Amino acid sequence: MGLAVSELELPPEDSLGGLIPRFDLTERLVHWLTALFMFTCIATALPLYIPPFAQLIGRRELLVVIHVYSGILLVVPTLAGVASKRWGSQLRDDLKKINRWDGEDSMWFKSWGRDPLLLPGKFNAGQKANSAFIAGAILVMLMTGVVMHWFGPFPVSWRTGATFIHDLLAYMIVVVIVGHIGYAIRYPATIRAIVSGKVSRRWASEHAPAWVGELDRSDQN
Amino acid sequence: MTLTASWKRPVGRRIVLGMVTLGFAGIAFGESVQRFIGGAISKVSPGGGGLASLIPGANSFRIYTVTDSFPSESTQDYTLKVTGLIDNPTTYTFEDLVGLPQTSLTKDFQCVTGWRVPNVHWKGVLLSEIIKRASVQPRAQAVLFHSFDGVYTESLTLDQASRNDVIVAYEMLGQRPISSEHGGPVRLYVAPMYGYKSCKWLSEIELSDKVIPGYWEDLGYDVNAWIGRSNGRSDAPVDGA
Repeated sequence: MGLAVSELELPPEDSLGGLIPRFDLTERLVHWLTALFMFTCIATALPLYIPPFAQLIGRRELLVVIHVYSGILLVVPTLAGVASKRWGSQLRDDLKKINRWDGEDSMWFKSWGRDPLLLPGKFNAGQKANSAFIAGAILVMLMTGVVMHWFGPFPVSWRTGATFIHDLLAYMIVVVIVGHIGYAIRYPATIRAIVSGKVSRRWASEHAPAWVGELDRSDQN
Repeated sequence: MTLTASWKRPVGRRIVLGMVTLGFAGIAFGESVQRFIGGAISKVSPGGGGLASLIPGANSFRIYTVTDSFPSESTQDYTLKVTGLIDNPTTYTFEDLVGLPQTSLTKDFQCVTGWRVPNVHWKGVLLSEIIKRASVQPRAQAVLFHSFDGVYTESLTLDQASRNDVIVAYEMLGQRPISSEHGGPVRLYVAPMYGYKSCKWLSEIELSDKVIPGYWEDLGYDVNAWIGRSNGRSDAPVDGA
């Protein structure tokens, strides 16, 4: 456990060579393209679903086209990033980290991250849960959306079931995204990380200590 | 880093796969869940307007229009023209229509996309009453409907149009005139057929020698849109409480 050592080696100021890379260009592009398509889906969903907005905006046919195709595009950035041999290696590594949960993660949920004894890795359990939920939600919205829009080949009851799931999950997605943005605002370093790709070593040692330890060990190797 | 990592499980993948599994189950069986929730909400909020329309699964109207904006006409400016193969072309004002013999219906509104609003209250004039007053020529076999959105069209055979559950409605969900989003001030309500037959923003009734497929029928929906017996659907009839 090289963690305590790395903490002692902390430079006193962030500015003293204290920035470490957190997200590479591929990851940031994947994040922001996904965000763009998600935002487009939500913005077009409002006038499709809520009658007063529908009346205000009209243009239903156009909105449907934009909504459907940005929904399909939602899966593209992640798949393209993962599939890219050359540009996707860090994305693939981080997805492995997000996928794997250990005892640390179940402890995180007991205190919602407040327990001072927690030593999260690059991603804490909340971040892992958020990523997994959004990934699952995008797939379910895609499935149900396809049944709603191209209903021809499916049994007619599926269209009602798909509509119900699509509506219900839409609310959950909005709640989770509002939470995601709320946490980002509360921890501005995370916004800098997903914009510039870098975080200060000090921030990382506080919020992702096991990750810093891991980085230092791989530097030594 | 091995201190707490006594176990490692692919929980992220399980969340994703679990959600996808639930999504498939929801597509296959969600209709019965929706029916249960919709029924419960309908008891509290008949017609599913207002906030109920925001609850997933609520039996509420979804507001459709085929044009870029919602057409709107005041009751003062509104006119309904009756034209075509008739001896007595007429133009009704809103007040003229309200002055004709009134018919009330409380029946469901069933959309071909699956949603249904139970026990909607409708009030208006029997379409057959308006046709009768127009003195139809023998050649006429069908009734065409035009919307003042300028695009939407529908039609019925003369037999279908003569039913006593087909009305030119000026009141719906207790609102008179019918609100713009629901096709007001005056719309058609064809109770035994899917919602696309119930032409919104009705501006002209034209007697014709043959049925002309309407807007959605050109895009693949059935011309004879009987609920439960067309468009590959098996919905129950719409007789309300």
